[in-house]
Amino acid sequence: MKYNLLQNNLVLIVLSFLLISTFFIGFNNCLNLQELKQSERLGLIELTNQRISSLFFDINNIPGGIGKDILFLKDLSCLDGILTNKPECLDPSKENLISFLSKNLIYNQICILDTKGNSVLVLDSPDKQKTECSSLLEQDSLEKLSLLNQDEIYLSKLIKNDKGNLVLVYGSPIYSNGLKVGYLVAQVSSDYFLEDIRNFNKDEENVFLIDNFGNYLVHKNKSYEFSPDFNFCTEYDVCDNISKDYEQKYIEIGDKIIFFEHLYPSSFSFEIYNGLKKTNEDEDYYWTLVFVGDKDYFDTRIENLNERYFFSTVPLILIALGIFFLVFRKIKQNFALSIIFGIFFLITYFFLITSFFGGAQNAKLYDDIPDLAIALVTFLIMVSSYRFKDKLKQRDIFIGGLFLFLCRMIQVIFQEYQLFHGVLVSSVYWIFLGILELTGMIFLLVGYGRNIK
Amino acid sequence: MNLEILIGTIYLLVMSLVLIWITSAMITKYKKIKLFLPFVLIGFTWCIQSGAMLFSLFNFTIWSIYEGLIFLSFIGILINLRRDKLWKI
Repeated sequence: MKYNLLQNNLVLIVLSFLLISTFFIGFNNCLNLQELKQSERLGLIELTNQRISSLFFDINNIPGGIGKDILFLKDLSCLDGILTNKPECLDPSKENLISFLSKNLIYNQICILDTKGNSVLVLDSPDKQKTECSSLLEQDSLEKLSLLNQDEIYLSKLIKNDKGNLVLVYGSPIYSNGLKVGYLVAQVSSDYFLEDIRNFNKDEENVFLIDNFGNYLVHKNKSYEFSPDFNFCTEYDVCDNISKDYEQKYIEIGDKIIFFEHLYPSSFSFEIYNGLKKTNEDEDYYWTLVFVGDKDYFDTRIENLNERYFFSTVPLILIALGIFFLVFRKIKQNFALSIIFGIFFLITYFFLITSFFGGAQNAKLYDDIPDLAIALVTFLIMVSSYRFKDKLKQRDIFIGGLFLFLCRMIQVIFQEYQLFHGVLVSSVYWIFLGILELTGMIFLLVGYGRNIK
Repeated sequence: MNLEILIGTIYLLVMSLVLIWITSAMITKYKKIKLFLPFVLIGFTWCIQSGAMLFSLFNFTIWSIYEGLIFLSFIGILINLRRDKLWKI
């Protein structure tokens, strides 16, 4: 009688502790969740910013390299001879430039112009369509080119050549004995970085490159590019904010969230690489790299936190309570068993509590707790077989429990150490586990059914 | 759908059907539905799991329900096994 009273009181005390602590951590969780959602949102924004930065560094790698190439080509011996009427210089210079073009496929064309802008030598890349060199340089660009010093380089806006390809034009003056004798002009295909931007498009977000007027330079639908009918500013009505706001890198408008980064094609390319000066002073011309994402996409990912937080604890609560009741059911009958259950209960409850504070999100064991709990129960089923005098029943239940126990333990061990990789190995693994589990269940069921009254 | 998920789905579906089939045979033979309820529950849980995998609905919620039901079913089996009055020893 005393024992029962003690047991009942103990049950009440522990149950009260469980309920109060669960309510407490639940309440605390509600407070933390808002904070966590905010930090998750900032995390997602930061992640997108990092993606923009990585794309920016990807596309910014080559322009500086081109600048160096231009300086290298100008230093080729005898190049100035083409412009100073030295016939012996023509063939070697031509050969050098052709060899350069064949090795550097992003160059469409290299031209040598005289000081008036007339073509003296035009070399096209072997696999590219021929275009007219001088047509790419407008009158004001030629003027800018004429103002450059020896080691300065001109970079044009992104333009369409007469074949409809998007190109950048690089130019630099050629000097001979301190006198300007002409210009080296290179036409570079822009596909190398435009394609990088197009490839960044995903289902839930669009990536564009626009100019300062909102014209699409890169769009996943190519018909939008350079089209007067389509303009980012009229479509999204955020250009005023984007052009003014240099500090904040994103804007939320309607159901969209828009990330942006301004690029100054000349200054960025040229400032990064030493030895080359920024020469395009036209600060009004810039590109904007724009990511347009659905706000829903961000919100859904954040809302998932609620679900994960709530449901991740449901099996643990069930297991904790289940084990708790088993402990007090068994105290009278089997002290050793109740100790095993009790220890497991404490471990489970520890993880239950830490999960509310975010600690278990990083703990590997957290996902294994339900499997371990099931493994423990199947182990007890296996041990329970000793109670039956019928040898066949004993055997069947023992084997059934053993197989099911092994199945769970293998899952825990393999998940913990991630010992299997690849489709074939993991398929074999799953089939093996499936057979083991089904065989265990059949043995258990057959043993269970023997000698029922 | 990748091969791994397809195999997982098929094996779970086959397992659940075999289990439900044997359990229903046992219920018919011994006429004790309550005793075999945990096995039926496991069979249906595997069924839900295979359906979730097939329709790519596998997420934390489904996983929680799956693990919780399996655990409770095994607890049910264990309790039944240790309840002497139901068994001829």
